[in-house]
Amino acid sequence: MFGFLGIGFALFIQTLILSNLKSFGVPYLSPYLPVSKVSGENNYILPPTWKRENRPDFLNTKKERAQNKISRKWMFYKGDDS
Amino acid sequence: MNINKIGSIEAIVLVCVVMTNQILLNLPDTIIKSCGSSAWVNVIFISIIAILFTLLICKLFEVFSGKDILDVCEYTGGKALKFIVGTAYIGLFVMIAGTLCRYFSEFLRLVYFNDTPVVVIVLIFLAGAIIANRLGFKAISSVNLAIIPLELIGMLIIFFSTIDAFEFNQLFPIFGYGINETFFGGLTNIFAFGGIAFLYFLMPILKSSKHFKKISVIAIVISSIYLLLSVTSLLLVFSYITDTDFTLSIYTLTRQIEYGKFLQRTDALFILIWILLLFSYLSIVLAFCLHIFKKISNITNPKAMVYCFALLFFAFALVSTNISVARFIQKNVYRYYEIILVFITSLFILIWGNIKYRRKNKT
Repeated sequence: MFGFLGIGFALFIQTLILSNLKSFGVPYLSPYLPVSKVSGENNYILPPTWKRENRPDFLNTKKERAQNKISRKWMFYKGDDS
Repeated sequence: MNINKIGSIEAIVLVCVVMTNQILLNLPDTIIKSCGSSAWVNVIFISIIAILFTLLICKLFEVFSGKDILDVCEYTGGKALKFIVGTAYIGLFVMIAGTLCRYFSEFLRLVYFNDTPVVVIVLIFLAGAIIANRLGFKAISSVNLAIIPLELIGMLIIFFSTIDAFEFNQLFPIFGYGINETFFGGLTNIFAFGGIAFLYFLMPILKSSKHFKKISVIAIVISSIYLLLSVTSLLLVFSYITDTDFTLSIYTLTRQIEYGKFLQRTDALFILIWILLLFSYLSIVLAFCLHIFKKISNITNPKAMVYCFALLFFAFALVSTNISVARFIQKNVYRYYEIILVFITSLFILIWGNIKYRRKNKT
């Protein structure tokens, strides 16, 4: 009956409800809606474990970092000169 | 309505939704009619002025970190000034939202719903805005994030798909009806950046107010690019646009897009995006109206006022008897109302507040 307007209305309300939904305190559409600063690290395509340095923003953890900036220190270890 | 704190990206998107919606609904048409072939020069000129104006606002807000224009009003002229300015802003928002809603509804009725009364279409839009406001501001700002990329990509698609129909002769004479008309007469076209009004209320709802300057400038730059693309593509495609009245000029542009024999009516997709954008726009304006009303009246539960403000929007949408009256209100009433309130009065109040603050701190 309402054609495109009805589809638009339904889409809008559905997106509103989904973005308002939370599961155990985590937004249902995160990390996309709302955009969190570590979206790149917890995406559809996961980077290798050693590259995932930050904990997901939406978990509101006490410690924001999961590991050091360079976790694989042996990669950059040049050995003892002595 | 209790407005939750929002992040930088959400704030940029919020301002962009307001600006792009106003641009979409026949603003390029108005600019082209007033400046002729120099419309693109005029757009660049007013964009630069808008950016400089935004930087000035940011500078003036530096001493009032975390406060909005109503707080500055209270600081300078007491509660009376706060009430007057707050009411004026609510009036402006109601007027613009009502007119835009009516305008778009009339357009939809012309294109798709010939037998549906326009009141029904307006009511559906307002129902969406009411539901969004009942769910909360956080949900609205999240939905904006999903809608605005579609809108911006849509505009880029329109621009690049109509490149074949461009006639570059349309850009000449470069100064259109004359330098006077382009730079001085066309200065009133700055009302295209009416979304600056929302910047005055943005500071307290930001998670970190130190990003205010960055947010404002990025939002204005994105909107300027959007306006420039729409004006340029309209000017280059339709040689006769200065003499005709399109109901929705960008829609006429989308009718030109064809991808072979298979995809001939891509305009429907854009209409769906614009419908979503208008829902989002009405929700934001309604939320801000409630926010201002809460500040000027000290009401504890403003959520109950959602229906009252929606009713005001509805009433204003019905003020225009037809699409010509809506266009008249857009061109001649809220254009000057917006310029006087947003670009003159608010700036004056901010400067006054700054002078008062410096004098107080000196002694």
